[in-house]
Amino acid sequence: MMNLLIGGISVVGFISLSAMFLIWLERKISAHIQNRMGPMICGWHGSLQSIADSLKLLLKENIVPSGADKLVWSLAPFFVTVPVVMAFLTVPFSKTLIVRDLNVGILYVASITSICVLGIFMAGWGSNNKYSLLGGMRSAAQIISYEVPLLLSIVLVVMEAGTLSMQGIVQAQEQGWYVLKPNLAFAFLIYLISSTAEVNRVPFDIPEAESELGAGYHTEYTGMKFAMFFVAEYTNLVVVSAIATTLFLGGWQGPLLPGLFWFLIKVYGLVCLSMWVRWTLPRVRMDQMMTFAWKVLTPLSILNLLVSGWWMVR
Amino acid sequence: MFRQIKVIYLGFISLLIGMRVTAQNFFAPAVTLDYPRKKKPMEHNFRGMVDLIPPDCVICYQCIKICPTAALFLSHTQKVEAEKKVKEITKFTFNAELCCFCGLCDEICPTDAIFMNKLYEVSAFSHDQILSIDLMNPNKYKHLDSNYSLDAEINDNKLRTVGIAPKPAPAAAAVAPAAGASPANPAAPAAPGPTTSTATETKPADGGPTTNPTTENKQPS
Repeated sequence: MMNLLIGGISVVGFISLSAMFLIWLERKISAHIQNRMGPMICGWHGSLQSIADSLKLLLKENIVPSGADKLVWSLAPFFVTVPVVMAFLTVPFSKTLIVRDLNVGILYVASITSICVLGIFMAGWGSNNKYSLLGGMRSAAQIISYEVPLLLSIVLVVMEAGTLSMQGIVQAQEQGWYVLKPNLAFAFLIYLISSTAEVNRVPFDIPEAESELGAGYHTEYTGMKFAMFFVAEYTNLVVVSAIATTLFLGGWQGPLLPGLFWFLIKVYGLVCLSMWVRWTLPRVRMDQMMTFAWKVLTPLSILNLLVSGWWMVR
Repeated sequence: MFRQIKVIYLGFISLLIGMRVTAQNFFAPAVTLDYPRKKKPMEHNFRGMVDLIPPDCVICYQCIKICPTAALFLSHTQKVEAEKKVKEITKFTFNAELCCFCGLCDEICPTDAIFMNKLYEVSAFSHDQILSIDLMNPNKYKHLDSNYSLDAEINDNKLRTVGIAPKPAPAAAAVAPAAGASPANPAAPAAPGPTTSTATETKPADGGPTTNPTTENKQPS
């Protein structure tokens, strides 16, 4: 019990720090890709900018839009944030640093992160704003569609490792990372694409398309509730990167450095890759995105699964 | 089916090309400045606010006559000091609202006392602050830019003023003595300073004696 409490508190601390760091990192990376400087005033190269921003958001007034479904509207940020925090329960930071190693770990993560879409749809519905509603509906369609290839690529890893436990999957990669095997490398690519869609990032940021919907489902949120959506967005990014690291990149395993460092290096490397993609690619259209999910990614991952399964039982 | 695979493959390649472009830009130097704290130095022919070196002024009224918008005002008194008539400026003001920044006062001034400095942040809080700027005051533009310094501006103007080549090319300098010795050059005798003579003599070397005496005959103070 004490173990869980300490784990929970440290996870919440890690999440808030990492979200603030990632917001700063995203601003700097986007600025340098566009040949700008980015935030430069607060601290060294603007490193305290996120702290200043979060202080500002804490002090802001909480405005409830007239005609909003108040209960749904105020519950939505919690439905988005809490599952993301809970997903860290089974993420193995190192050999010993894991809150609880469930024997159905990856199943637990996959199911708990699916609750996020409920929160996003609640935010879109409760706001009483047509743009928010459109954003919420698009998000529901997108996340449910991309869940299919995402889970199919995870199933391949589970088949290879023979266990659902996260720690077990990491230990199964002692001989070599799964990303080095051709069929699993293909699954990793599918996982990366679908996870980008899962966390609503460019090129799949249709739910919160700034130029079309004006930030989509969180248009009407102010102050701390908006900050919770923001934290959830960036923490979601860390969660999918952490799962990708655990499943395909050998988790905390690596030479010389302690396991925690290897894990964080891999996770933030994947996050940087995601940011690089975000500031390179344009947004796809709704129909292109759905076509890509159902007609390209899903058949390819099913084919990959069948061929690999045949290869294993041959 | 084959066409679709080809489209997907080509799309993937084009994504990689785009990623390469952004990666190159990520490592390229930024094109913007950290503006209020870092400022870009102006070009040597930039015409900012009108500035004055008070001891160099000989009160010839050339700048007042040539100013097309009458932005300058000058008055003086005469008095006798050690049996010698001495002129003294009583008022020399500059109206930045009338000024059209043509730089004629800078060009006409025989002693280079009046010049255009490199100040480009010229907004003030009220009209009164720029309607009659006292050119005799060494801190005249402190209210526009707190980093303003007359000495720095004078130094900058001497190094990089209009009409004086900032860095004469080695080839032009080699040709210069021969061109200066020729009697067909009217500008050469009126140019005693080393920097000015280089500037006046580079032009005859490549074009002939068609230089504008107003610009070229300025003596360095």
